[in-house]
Amino acid sequence: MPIDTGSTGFMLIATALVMFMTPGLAFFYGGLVGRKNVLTIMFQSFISLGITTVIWFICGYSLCFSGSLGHGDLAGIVGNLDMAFFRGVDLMGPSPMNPGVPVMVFVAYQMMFAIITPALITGAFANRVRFPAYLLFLVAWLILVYFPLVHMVWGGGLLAAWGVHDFAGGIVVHTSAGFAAFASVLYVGKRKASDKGLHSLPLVALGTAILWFGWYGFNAGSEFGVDRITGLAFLNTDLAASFAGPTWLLLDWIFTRKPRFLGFLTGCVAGLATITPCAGFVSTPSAVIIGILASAACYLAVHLKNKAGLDDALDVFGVHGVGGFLGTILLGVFGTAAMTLPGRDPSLLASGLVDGHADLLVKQSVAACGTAVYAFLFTLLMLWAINKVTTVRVSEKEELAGLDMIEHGEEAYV
Amino acid sequence: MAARREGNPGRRPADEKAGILFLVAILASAFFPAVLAEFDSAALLKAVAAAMAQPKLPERIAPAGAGQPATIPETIAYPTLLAEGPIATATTTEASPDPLDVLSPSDPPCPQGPPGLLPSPRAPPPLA
Repeated sequence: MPIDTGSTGFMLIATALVMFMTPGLAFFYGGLVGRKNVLTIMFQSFISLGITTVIWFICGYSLCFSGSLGHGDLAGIVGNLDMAFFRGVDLMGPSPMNPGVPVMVFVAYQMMFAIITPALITGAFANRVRFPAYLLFLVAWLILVYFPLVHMVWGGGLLAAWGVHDFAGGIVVHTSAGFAAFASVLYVGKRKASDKGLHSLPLVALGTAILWFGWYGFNAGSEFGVDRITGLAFLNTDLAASFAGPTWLLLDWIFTRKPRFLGFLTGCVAGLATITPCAGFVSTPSAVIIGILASAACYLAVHLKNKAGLDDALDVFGVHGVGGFLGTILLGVFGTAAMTLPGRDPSLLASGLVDGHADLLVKQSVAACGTAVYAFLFTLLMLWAINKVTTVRVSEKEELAGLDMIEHGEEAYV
Repeated sequence: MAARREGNPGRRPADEKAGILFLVAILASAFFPAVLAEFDSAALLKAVAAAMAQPKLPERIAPAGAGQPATIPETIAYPTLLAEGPIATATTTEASPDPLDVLSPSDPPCPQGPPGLLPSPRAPPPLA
């Protein structure tokens, strides 16, 4: 098949946009922590650009996308090693999702998702985790949690065969990272040092802007080509974020009596995370509803988390976990066959309650709950095992001194 | 003013209320039409809408006779039957005859009295 130059060009740009989200996340998290821990948390995001790419080359791509349920994978849970070291990824190969796009582009695009997902978790254990332990965690989490979930949902595994849908990563990225963050918070415990508050709201704003910008590539690019659904996903992404931001602002204004900039930014990210699984499956009015519900649910989750005394430092669980979980379930409500292209494979249809079908809602709910439990348990287990090899949490003295100097011998501000 | 800027509790000043109301107004003005637009096509509501848009009025309630209670048609006593019956599936574009338009002033007088006057189902039975 000849190359589709328009779609290929678009997918290359979308890939670069998703890559740019990881530095955006670093700025977002960097602004939210204190002055003595900025570099540590930024580095935890940036290092994923390197380490995850190495793992992706060695076995990541293969474990995600080689084999399918009943065709050479491991019980529909994880792929095989047939494509380890990019074996079989040749110049003339077509992308599995769109034969008009070269497979190289597909490999790169999926790699960017793998890079940002573990980086999302780092916000939960800010100021508390040692760098060597984090490196082990990064690799183990990718292999044991992320790659199996990608295979199950996007690689022809169990959940895909069952009819579960996830347009751009509500299950694979946000629910998994959010619940892994929740487990991390429980494992590492609270921060002891006083360096808790955010040190630069402008950095947070910059990070949010980059994330939002990159999210167009994340969601619209998940159509793997240029067609009408690409435009729908792009617009829905913007609608959800734009409605979620003011909703969070409103709630902040009512309950804290201040229209806080940070609240608006957090709301936008909550809307983006929640629309992710739905972006190319729902109508624009649905995206509006989803954006508003996203902020309400995530605001409540963050409030409950604070009441419970959990130190999810940068609200990864409250925003990404709850947002991704909610979006996955809402797809079962708002997914509609009206938002699909004529003649498309019926297995790609997400037809939910608005079309009068309840089965998708059941499947999405089961998948969201299963992913949450899986990510939570494996993360706990992994941290416990890593702690046997190298100490995960820094000492109180090190925490007081700040991890930038203790772990990396560098300072953000002199 | 200083107290308000620090977020002290108490009565909300007018500008704070105005800001909150502004956000509520613009969000609500988008949210409710979005909900209506989405669920307008929902199969569940379609069935209800079809039932509501029946082409003709239900049968009239027969007045109670001497020693007999008023008879209530099944379509009123058991409205769910409407959804299952052929009436529920009728399209809404079908013209619905209005009984009040049936007669004109030039028509001969009705021997049984003017149309539209029905005994209320809640009215007590006439005295024997």
